[in-house]
Amino acid sequence: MSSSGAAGAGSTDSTAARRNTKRPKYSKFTQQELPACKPILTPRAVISAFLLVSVVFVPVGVASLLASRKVCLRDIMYDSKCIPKNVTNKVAYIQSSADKACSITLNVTKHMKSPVYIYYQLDNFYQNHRRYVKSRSDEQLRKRGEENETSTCKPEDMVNGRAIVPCGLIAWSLFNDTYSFSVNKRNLTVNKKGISWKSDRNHKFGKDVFPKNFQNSSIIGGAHLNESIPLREQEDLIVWMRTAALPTFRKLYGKIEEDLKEGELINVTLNNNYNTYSFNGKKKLVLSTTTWLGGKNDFLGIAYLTVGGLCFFLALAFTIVYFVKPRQLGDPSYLSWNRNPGGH
Amino acid sequence: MVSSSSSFASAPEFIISNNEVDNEIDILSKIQSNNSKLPNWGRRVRLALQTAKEIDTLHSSTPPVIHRDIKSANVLIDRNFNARLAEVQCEQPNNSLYTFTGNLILQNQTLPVSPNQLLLRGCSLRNTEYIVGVVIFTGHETKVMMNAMNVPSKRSTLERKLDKLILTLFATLFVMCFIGAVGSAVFVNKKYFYLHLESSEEGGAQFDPRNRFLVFLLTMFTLITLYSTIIPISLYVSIEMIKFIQSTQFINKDLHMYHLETNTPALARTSNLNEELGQVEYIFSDKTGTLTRNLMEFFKCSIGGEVYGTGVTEIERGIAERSGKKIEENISSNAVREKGFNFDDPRLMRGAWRNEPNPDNCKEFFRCLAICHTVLPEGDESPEKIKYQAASPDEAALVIAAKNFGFFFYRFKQLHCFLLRTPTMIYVRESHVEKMGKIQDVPYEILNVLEFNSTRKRQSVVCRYPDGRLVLYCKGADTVIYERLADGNNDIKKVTREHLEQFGSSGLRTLCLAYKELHPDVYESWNEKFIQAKSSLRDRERKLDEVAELIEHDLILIGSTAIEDKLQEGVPACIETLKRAGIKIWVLTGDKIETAINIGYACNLINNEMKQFIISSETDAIREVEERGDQIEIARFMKEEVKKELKSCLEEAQSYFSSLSGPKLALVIDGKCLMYALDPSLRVMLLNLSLNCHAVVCCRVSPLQKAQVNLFLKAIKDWWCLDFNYGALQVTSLVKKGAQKITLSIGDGANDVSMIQAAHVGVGISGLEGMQAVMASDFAIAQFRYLADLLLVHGRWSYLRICKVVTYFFYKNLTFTLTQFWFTFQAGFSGQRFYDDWFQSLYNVIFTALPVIIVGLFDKDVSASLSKKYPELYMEGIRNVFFKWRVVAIWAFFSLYQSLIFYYFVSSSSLSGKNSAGKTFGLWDVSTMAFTCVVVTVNLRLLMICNSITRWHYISVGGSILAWFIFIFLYSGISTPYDRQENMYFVIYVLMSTLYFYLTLLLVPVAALFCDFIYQGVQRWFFPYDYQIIQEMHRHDDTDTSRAHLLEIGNNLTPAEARSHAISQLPREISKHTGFAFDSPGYESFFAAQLGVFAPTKAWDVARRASMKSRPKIGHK
Repeated sequence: MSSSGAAGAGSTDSTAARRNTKRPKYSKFTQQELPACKPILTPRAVISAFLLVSVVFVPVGVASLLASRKVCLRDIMYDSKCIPKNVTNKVAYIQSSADKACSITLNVTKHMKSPVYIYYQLDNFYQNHRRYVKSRSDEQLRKRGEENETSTCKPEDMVNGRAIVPCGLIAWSLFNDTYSFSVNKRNLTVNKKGISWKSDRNHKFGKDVFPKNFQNSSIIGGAHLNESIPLREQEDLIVWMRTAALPTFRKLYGKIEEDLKEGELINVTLNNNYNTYSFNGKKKLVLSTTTWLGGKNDFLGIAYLTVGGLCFFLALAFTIVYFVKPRQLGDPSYLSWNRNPGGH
Repeated sequence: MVSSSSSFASAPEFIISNNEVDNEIDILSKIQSNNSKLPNWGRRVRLALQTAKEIDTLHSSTPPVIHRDIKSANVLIDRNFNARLAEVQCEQPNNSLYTFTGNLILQNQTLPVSPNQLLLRGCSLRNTEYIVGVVIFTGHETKVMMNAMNVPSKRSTLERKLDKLILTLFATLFVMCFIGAVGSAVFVNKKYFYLHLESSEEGGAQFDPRNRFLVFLLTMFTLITLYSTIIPISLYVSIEMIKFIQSTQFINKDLHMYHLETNTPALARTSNLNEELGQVEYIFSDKTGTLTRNLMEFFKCSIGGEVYGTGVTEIERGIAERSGKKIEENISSNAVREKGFNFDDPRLMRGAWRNEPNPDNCKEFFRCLAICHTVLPEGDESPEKIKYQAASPDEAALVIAAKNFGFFFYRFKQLHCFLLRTPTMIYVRESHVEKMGKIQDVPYEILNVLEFNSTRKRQSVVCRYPDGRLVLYCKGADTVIYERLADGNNDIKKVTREHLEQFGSSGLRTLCLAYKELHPDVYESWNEKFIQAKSSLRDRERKLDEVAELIEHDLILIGSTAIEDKLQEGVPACIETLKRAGIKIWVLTGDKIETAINIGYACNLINNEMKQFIISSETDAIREVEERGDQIEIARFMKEEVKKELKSCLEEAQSYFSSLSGPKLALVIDGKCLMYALDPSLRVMLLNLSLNCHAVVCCRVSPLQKAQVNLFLKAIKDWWCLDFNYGALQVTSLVKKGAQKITLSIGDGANDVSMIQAAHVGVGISGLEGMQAVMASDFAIAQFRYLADLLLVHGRWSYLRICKVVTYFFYKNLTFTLTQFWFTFQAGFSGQRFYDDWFQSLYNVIFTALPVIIVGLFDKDVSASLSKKYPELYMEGIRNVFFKWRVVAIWAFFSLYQSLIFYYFVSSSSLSGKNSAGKTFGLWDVSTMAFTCVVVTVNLRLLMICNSITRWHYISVGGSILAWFIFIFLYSGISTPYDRQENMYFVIYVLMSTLYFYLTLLLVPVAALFCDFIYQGVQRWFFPYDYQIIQEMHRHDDTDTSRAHLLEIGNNLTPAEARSHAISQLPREISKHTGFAFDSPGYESFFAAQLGVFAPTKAWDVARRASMKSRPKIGHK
């Protein structure tokens, strides 16, 4: 018992009296004397905290900015380029069954090391809309026997009374532009394996679940699926079904597993099938390499540098103030009742 | 027995008859059990007949009395085996505890029933085998139940302000929802074909662009549920928990507030008001028992114009010290000291009074003390072992004094309190009366007791000596006794009056004693009237008073007594501390104006530095009008006078107030003036004046302290008392309503209950005067000095902690909800959740719940000893600096900033590939990352507001962050079979497989807390709070030892030490005035005159005239 300090007054009591006493028991908790450290935000502490942050942040910022700069990225917007000039009603054109093949060229401005990732980027496309996000059936995607679990998929749940696999708006609106690349008339192979997260592939999409009744309704939203390939291997679908956070998003289309040299002209032949015209969405084709940090992302580096730099300048400013107009620690003249006698 | 009571309940109220009754009345069952007395058959039949008749009476009354089976125990019989039929007439049920009027009609004989015979609900019987009684009131009609006031449920001001904050949050919620809903109604469009907006399936109406108004409405509801996290529901639960632990663990168990002598710890009776204790600006205090000990000690007396008693009161000592004099004390070794008696004068002790100039006077004085009272002796009939049971300690002190003077009251025999025929006997063992050393037992027959009440302010006893002599002894307040004295003997009267004033200014409580011989014929004729009055049903009190007036005149003055009521330990120091804390103190006392001012000085309430305003009703002008006796005229005149006074005081006060360095102000006002000043037309003025005063003494507000002489079951139903309660209540409510300041009432007696309940915080002193005050209070402490701990330590900490908890809750929920709100803009206003349902639900419950409770319990800005060393810190609470709208706005600004950082820093980079395999994040990856950042940041932000960080802070903050990671590892790692969208599956592992996640997790919290940190740094550097300076001043102290050290000092300070400490805090200058210094015009000359120092009489010398009316200046002493 550490009651020595506080129980001194009662120490002479007889044991009987002590039993009857209502004297509260001493404990550090009830006496609110728990040992505590009392950090005081002294000017020195402020300055050193700022310095510490800048010392950590500036190098990290520089490193991530360098990484981001090392990434080679080529992108091209093709949604307007791939509409013939004489077409006025773009929506009608895209919905027609005409051949919408289109050819564009990209020149490689910098050496792109293998692998080069191919992305498509959509704009003003709300994959995060509430109606859209919930319009899928994970049960159905995962297990063969659950294909009638389409209650969450409305309005793309059934066609002619039979369940659609995969059901729901997400799958229904699957992106269906296709790209093929050639350099100097030599076709580049696009590897479409391994473009989805492995966890999605292995756990969310069954290897014995095959598309059924897909895109059989009156309106066709997007791509068709090969009904003989299980969903687990339909990686375009898997990528698409990992809904994006923002209305502007990129999704991986495939990868080119050879270097693209500087100055090369890449010929892209694409089938412009997907309708973004009705909602004025833009489509972009993006070729990018990666580093340890992923794709091109200047933001992170700039943010790090900004915070680190600001901290450095603040540390400087505070130091100057500290020397020019110091406030002595614990100066009683700063107490309100000393500044303003009478306490009013 | 037939009574007017209707039904029997478990806890009824009885009227009782005395033991003696069983001489005449018996219960049938008792006889039955005693075979020897079994009645014969004829008597049995008669009994049965009589019983049947009674039942018939019961049945035929309208409305019929409902009764159960008649048991033999219900039948009362008399000695002749006749069943008794009695009728009780009594008043309607009411809530007045101390009054009862009724009659018991028994055999055509009407017996008065008074409160003496009434046994209230909950009373227990002691020293009595059994009683025979009649149930009068039952259940809710009992006086006790009807008196049970609706205890006002008190909520703290901070909580009420919190309600406003919650309302603001609700308003914000609706604005956010409205914006979102309008956005949704505008957004929905057929063109987003992939959303199938125009489909007609069930539930599709929410986004159907064909009915945009419906879209608006439905989205509104969706968003309300989505943003509902902005309302911190768990805040109330957390605050309740924190406050409960604060009150039960900290306040109740504080060793600093444990009183060893009475074995009483502090008790928080409610946990609602902890933080209110940190904002109290006005304290209303009762005097007796609160500031003083309510331990009455016979201290001095004046007999036949001679002062006896050599003691020096604390107040005199204080006055002397203040004026720089030194008082020599010579305590003789053979002085008798016991509880209630602190008197020493060899001229009176051990029969020495026989050698005094007028021993007869002394004898009457002592007899009066021994006879004229309502004290009951208990225990062994020896002077050492006897114990006196008295309702008030004053009376006990007087009887103990008589004992020590050789008039030992040792036996009391009350023969019959019900039937007034047989008298009460008082046995007194008198020593040295006939001659030195002779001891004789004398029985005195008490014929009538004219009881004390606060209109009468006196008590008389008519007694018959063994030799048949009839004497009336009377004791009471000087004013009432002097009115009733016989002419002549003016010298003694004058001298005694001087003594009374002298006693008064020393802070002693005085009583005058007088007696009168009665002629038997005069007595007999008066006694008839008395009995008549005593059995009247209507206005019994008033009639008794009138009858008493008939006999209480032409009295002969014997002398006066002076009783000391010592200040409680540590009161001056405590008041000094509270004053420095910016708390303004009102003392409500029944004392005379001079006594009150002296007490004020003694306990540091008033000092010479203060400018005093005195508003007294005892001016010549008022007296003149009063003597004319026209009530309406008096009222009108008084009101005018009070108005005039108030106005001039207020003007003067404002002139002081406008100049910053002016003196502090004190107001002394007496009860009558207060009554008029509380008139609606003057109330504002009074409020303005009193709010500017640092100390207010209201004197003569309570019934004179002598009212407490009475048994508490007896009489205090009189206008003065009611008016006092009303008055006190009004005073408290006035400040409560008018100024939005927080008030605290502290008292110990039943008459403080209304005051305690009316104030924001009621504190009861668990002292000598029963538990009423404690039962009505919110906090109970044993000593006044613990108020400093309660307010400055517990109150201040609670306030700080609750403020932190509330603002932090506000911040964390706002931040969290705002990130969700920003997402809404980029999700087509569809009401899509940014976070998973579970994240949102558990955010308040697990991930951020515990640390804030830890802060609410453990945060300490400065230690307890420093809190008391720098009471000025308390002013931050009074000014409410930590929970102003400005503070809330700053928090709101930072949560806006942080939410923007969270949302945009995390989401802006969602476009590009996130690992070297070029894969991108989806919605749930981004949201989980954002949520992780929020949890980490919000928990770290908590550490930034802590003033002291214990182990528990680390554990709880670390634990909360850890809990989030454990949760998300499990939640996204286990794939549950049913009823779950598998959005979250493996999300955290995906995130943690990228370096990007770690970089974000480092960047976002730092960037978010960056601004807060700058703010805190700048605030501390350039605009430091007082507590921060104190922290800096004592940053190297070892706090653990310093508090224990203070504990020793705080508990072991003797009164003298406390007093000298308090005095040492006073400015060390000899007063500007002569004699001992009272800085008010009236007192200077008054006290100076008493010490024989000449001071010119001035026209405005109000108080002097009040007490020295028609008294020539005699240089006494």
